[in-house]
Amino acid sequence: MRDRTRPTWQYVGIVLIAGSVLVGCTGPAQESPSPTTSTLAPGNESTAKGEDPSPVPPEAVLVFASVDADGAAVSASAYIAGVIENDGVCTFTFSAGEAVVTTTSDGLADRATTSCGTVQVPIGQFTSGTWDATVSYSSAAFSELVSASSPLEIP
Amino acid sequence: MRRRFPAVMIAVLALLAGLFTVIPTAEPANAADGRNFNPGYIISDGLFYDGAAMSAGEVQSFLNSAVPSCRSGYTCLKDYRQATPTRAAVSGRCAAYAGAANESAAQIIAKVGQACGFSQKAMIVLLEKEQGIITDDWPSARQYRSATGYGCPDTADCDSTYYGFFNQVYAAALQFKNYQANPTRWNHVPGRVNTVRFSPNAACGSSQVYIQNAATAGLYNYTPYQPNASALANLYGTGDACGAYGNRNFWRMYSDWFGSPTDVPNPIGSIDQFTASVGAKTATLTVRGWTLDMNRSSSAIEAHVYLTYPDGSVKGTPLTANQSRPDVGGAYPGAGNAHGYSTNLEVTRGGTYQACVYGIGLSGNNRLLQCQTLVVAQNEPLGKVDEFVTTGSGSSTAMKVRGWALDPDASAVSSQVHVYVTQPGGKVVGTSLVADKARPDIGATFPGAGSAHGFELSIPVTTPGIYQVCSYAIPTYWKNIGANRLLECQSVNYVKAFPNGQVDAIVADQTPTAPAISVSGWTYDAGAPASSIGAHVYITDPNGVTTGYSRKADKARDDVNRAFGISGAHGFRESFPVTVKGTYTVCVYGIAVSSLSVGLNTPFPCQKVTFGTTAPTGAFDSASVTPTADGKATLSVSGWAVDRDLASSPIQVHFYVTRPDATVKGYPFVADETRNDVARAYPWAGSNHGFAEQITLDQKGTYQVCAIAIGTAWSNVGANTSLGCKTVSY
Repeated sequence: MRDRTRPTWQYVGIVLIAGSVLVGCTGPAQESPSPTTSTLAPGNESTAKGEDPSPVPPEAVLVFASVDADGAAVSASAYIAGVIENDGVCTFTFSAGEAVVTTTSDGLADRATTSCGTVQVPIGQFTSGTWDATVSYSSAAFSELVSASSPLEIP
Repeated sequence: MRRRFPAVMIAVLALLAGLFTVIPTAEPANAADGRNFNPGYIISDGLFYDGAAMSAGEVQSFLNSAVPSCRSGYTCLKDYRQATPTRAAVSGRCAAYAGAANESAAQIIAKVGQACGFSQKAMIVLLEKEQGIITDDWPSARQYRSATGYGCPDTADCDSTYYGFFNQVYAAALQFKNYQANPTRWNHVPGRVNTVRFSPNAACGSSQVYIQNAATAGLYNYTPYQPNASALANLYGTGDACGAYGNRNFWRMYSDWFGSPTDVPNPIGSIDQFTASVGAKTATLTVRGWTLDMNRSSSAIEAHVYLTYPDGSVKGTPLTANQSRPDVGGAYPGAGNAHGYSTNLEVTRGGTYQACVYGIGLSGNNRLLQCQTLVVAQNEPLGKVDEFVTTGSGSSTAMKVRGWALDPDASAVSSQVHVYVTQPGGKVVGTSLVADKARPDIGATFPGAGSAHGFELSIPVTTPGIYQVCSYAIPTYWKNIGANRLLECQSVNYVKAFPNGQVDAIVADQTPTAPAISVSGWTYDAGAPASSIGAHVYITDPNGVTTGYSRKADKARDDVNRAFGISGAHGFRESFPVTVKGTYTVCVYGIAVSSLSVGLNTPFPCQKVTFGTTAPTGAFDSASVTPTADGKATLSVSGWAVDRDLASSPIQVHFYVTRPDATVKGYPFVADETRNDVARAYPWAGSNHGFAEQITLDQKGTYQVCAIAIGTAWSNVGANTSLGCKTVSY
């Protein structure tokens, strides 16, 4: 950073040209821009002052469970609303009749939720037809938060 | 091959670049329409991850316009400052953040954006949609604590990492970069259909949303709800119980303040390298990157590199971005590889450099791609002010500053020292010295440096008041040029001097032959107390004519010297002749000679002195006759008389004796006998004003004896006083 209280090198140049005496060093330049008036955009619904937002009840939420575009795997993702922590485990369960496929991921604290991230299961573990997908979450603080189920069509 | 561009061309380039740095304000640009909201594409990656979207100055201007006046007792964001911590680089996310004392909110927003490659515009909108802190004219502590609404995990140390304005801004930017860098580690994933809820309330339902890009996926990870139809229908208000507004407001506020969030920036590109190679006498800065115009991606376009030097000057270098960049060609199919630019810029001093690169679009669509800074490290010179003293006095008063300086990278060379003197009127006078006086102690401390590193300067004091003397060591080695070091600033107050003095007496000297005004007193200049100074006397006569006399107060006045602890001769006693009767006004000035009291001549109080006509005073106390043996008689008369304007001198009393035969004989006497009673009654008169005289009478009969006191002072001549007559006989 330039230190504006110091003489700058331009002054040095002047000294060399003009001799031994300089005149007219000035203080720091004013940097503050002048404010302009403005109307605020309407419809600003700020959170009321002094209150934390109303807490969201803990809930496991499946975001998607679907076959990847290349058809090689089933991917699913989920988050846990109302919880922000790092020590839990997400269990994705895919079921069709007697067949059950499960996989797990570690919960990861996100800004407002705990993210289970995205899991991938090779398509070979599934048979064609309609499957149900759910996610459940367990941690030291929570036990068995289970999401609503979501249909998964395996071609 | 580099092309040479004339200066005019550079100026035009600068102008073009300027067009693209118009500072947005909080004025709504255009009202957004909810029908244009696409839940799968809320904002483009190019805009969202544009770390050069706004400079700190532009952010500050925006904040100023958002809150023209802050409520009394509150700190609005435009005025907010805090110390910021240093954050190490996070690979693939954010470059290092250099903490600093007393950073403004605008600086924090700008620097975090630059470090993380996160749009300052997006951050402003995020701050507003989370806490309304951008436009709030009475923000609360909680709004600062949770400015971006970034939650604190239950097990974390909230205060050091999550709470507070800087932590909130940094955490949010880092997290959006985390979402981008590892999109499948999070739950809303770009490039596929996601189930996005309308509300935290599951009963409000969801819809299937194909999320088109990382920025939009990031917004849903940050706030996992989309607006429902009612929220979009009332874009500037609220919808039904299932309305959610976070991502809607982000889109709407961005649109209002900065224009469409989904316009694709064009041209695109970046600075991939901004480094310095430091040589023996110069450094070579390399700026390398790529750019292309998305509308005609197969064409090579120009990249304009603006290098800001440590002294603030800017040099523009136009380049053609046609060097091979297979990585760019691979990322943008059809574009080909010829989109790279690279330039080497030789610089001759160290310090902080900034490179900003503009992509020059093929249809006038120039765009700032990125700015980066680098520091060519400098060493400040060494040195010290060893002595700062006042020498001399009066007109020879001076300040002496003495010390040493050297450049550690060129220690054998005598370096320069600049001394800046701020005079009492605010004028600054700089003096350049070469620190080459012998200082064996420095030579001993810095082996190889030699001893020629001392400096000394005497600065005349020309007027009273406060002087500030700041001494700077000026580097000699090329790399250190500009890293001038303030050795010390020292101040001294030279108090205003002025002639001191007094007029002891102004007397009407009524000596009949040489009437005059006698003036006496003393004066000296406090700024030069040993010198005898002028005493100017202005006398206004009864006719209103003023005459000035220049005299010198150079007579010995030991009493004055003792009283003020000074030496020299400072008394005056002067006489000024008068010619007419009446009242004179006498004014005396002490004439300043010191540089500390120039123009500050001291007027002493004017006094009046009158040459009036006052007849003598006296008394004819007694007249008695004593016969003598020869048949005559002796007439004894006594009394006293004084001319108060010449009280120290006896005056004449004339006796007129009318004899029995009616003849009159006069007798002049001098009233100079001792009369202590007179002195008691009239202390100003003294005692030598009596008369006790004898006159021989030679006729029998009755005599009348009359006494007349004779006016003697110059102004009283002719003004005689009859002291009375007495009758005696024998």
